[in-house]
Amino acid sequence: MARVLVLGVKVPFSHGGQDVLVATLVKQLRERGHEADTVEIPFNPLPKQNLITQAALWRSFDFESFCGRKIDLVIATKFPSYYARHPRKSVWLVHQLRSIYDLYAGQYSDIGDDPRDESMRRMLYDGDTRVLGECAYRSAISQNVAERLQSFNGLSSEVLYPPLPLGDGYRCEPAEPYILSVGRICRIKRLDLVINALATTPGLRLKVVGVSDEPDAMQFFQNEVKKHGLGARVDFLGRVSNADLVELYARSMAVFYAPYDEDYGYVTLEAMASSKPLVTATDSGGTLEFVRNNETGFIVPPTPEAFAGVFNRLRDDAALAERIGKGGRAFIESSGMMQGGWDRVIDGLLSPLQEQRKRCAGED
Amino acid sequence: MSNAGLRVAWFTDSGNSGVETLSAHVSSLLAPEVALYHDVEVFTDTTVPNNFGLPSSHYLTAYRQHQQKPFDIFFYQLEDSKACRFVRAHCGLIPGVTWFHDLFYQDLGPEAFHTSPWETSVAQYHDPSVRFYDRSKAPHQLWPRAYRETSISAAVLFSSPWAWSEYKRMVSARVEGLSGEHPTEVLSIPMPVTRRAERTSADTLRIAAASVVGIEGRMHKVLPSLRGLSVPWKLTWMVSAEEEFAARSLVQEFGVLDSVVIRVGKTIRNWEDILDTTDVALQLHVSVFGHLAPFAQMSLSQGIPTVVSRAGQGEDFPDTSVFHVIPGSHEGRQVQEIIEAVARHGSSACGSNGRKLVRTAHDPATIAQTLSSLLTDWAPHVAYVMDRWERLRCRGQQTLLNEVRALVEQGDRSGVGPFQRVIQEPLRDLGWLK
Repeated sequence: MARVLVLGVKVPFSHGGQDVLVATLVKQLRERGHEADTVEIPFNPLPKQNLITQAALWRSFDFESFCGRKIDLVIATKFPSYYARHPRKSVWLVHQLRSIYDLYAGQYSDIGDDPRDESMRRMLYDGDTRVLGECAYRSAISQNVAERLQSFNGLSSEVLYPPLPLGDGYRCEPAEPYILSVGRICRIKRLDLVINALATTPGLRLKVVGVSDEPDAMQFFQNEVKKHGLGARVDFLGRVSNADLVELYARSMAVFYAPYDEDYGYVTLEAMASSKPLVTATDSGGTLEFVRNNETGFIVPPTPEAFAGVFNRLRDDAALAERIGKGGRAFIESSGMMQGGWDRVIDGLLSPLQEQRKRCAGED
Repeated sequence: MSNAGLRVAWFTDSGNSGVETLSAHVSSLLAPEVALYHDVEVFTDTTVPNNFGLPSSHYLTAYRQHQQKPFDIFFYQLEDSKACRFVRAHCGLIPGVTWFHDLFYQDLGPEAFHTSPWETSVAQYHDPSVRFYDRSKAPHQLWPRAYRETSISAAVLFSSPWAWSEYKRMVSARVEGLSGEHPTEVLSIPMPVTRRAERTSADTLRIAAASVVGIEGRMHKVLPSLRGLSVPWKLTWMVSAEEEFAARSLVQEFGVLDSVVIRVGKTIRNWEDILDTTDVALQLHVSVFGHLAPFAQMSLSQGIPTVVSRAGQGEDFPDTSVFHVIPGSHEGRQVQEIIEAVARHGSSACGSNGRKLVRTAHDPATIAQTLSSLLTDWAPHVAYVMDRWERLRCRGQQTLLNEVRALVEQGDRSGVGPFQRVIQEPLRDLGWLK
């Protein structure tokens, strides 16, 4: 059995897919008899010069041993945790600092053309290539993330889809007339699409699970609600327990999830596992690796009108909602995303230890 | 591929996004031709490894490739299109030769650059003692003209003499460029156009127009004038999808619905198709925003009598090659008389001269040769500018590290400071601190 550290990046008071991934990975490692723990350093991207500090901080720690106990392997997840040094470093890449890669020069990036910003971009770009290149094993949580790593840094990786965090725990109940949105509340998740769609979908409510981790984001979305006079039809629920989340999925009519170029998106799979139609956008990235339009969910252009069209159809045609929901559930059951999918993930992430054992055996 | 040529990083929209841009059109005709003189590598915002038959990479990898095997020239094409935003972004990161298809833009470009301190950067380029911009203040923006993009170019090209003169009149006097004591090289270079076969004739006079619906497109003058023609006629009017409804309304308003076909999709390919069955082409657009595109040149290349306005970019064409119309109260009458004359006499001398003009001035091989020669001539100056700009970036890196240090040391009273204690060694390890 191995002693493993999972390296997470924690934004205080925020909770997202990466937090779930780290927690479930540690749990799964422990269930397999490994000694596993989490190391998290609080992440503060503001002001942006902090990005350099944070990368250097991760680099500064010696992860080879703590209190005289040797660490066999570290598993890094997202920027900047993979800057950690260890001779057996695996990475299960959630994402890099996207504002210097695929989001650069767009509305979701704050890196400009000031020579200081350009220097920062080059430093982190080169730094990523180096520290991800030194990993003994590289994997990514989706094809989308793996392709970015290959395109920008020239590094290959194996795709290991994270299995559902609650395994077989999802269920389906008769639908109530509400749309569910789950995820961090920030601009890139585009909650405004569903809020604006709600203005032309009478009879439906919106329930929003998640907390904001971006300055002014909550205010922006609440203003959108006010603008359309939707205060009585929209509930911001904040963070909820796993039991409540399962219940909310189970009773929803449909699930909205349409971030811009998402890395992976647990929500997609959780909606499918709950036999609920997932409605996403044509530019939502990782979600499109799972959703087949009109079979396991709906893929529409990123406009409120397009989303409203689907929501109205689902409201008026319960049989359609049921058929799509069943399609999603069937996909999940056949895809290895339930509990069983963890074996492949753990085998991959711990493979540097196998390599080491083989080498040691050869030397003997 | 030339062995003795320069290594050119060719930044352009690839045309793969479905939006047709002038940059992609120009690149498709010129990049392979320029590659006969220089080693050309294409940079786009996609990861497609080959565009226009040339090796291609994502633009964000350009600096790394430049570090590994330096380019002699970064060559940018800019226009007022979202598909070309990444070029606007990158031309401020490594200066080079910039070819402007538009001088005016509808927006400030990439959002992160709305607060670009480019004026300070240019001042720092000339004087290393100038301090970096205070991050807490938003810089004043001169927009939507290409002040930023022209000022950070080592040399500038325009695809129309009109834009060139507008640049000299409105922009160059207000901004200091990178050339310092040597004035920035500024030239106009024609838009390349391919040759097409000539058309067959028909009983009905076939007219084509590529103007916008708004007043600067002049269609409110053209449509009533066509109604008074003494010969049978048919107009094909090419408009963008956003303008389809407005175009139909205008046609209905002038009661010519039966004689007008609205062709949706304002693209070079659609215009080529339309010209195959056209006897007279109208390009009366007089807007100062945006480029006429090579629509007039394309009709001229086929020997089609072409009517343009004697205003804006239409002024650039010689009288012997096009029919000029003066915008104003007699504009409709002039259009009517020209079309009647063409109907009576067929393809006029203007048509033939127009074809000759395009075949000499707009021939892709000739333009590529000229461009290649200009790049060779400008290479020493561009190298000087790039080197000096890189030194500015290195000062930026040092300043950034100083800012990091100040942030980390804020409130620390130990004397040694956490920067030295914790951060300095890993910074050295990563090669970020020498």
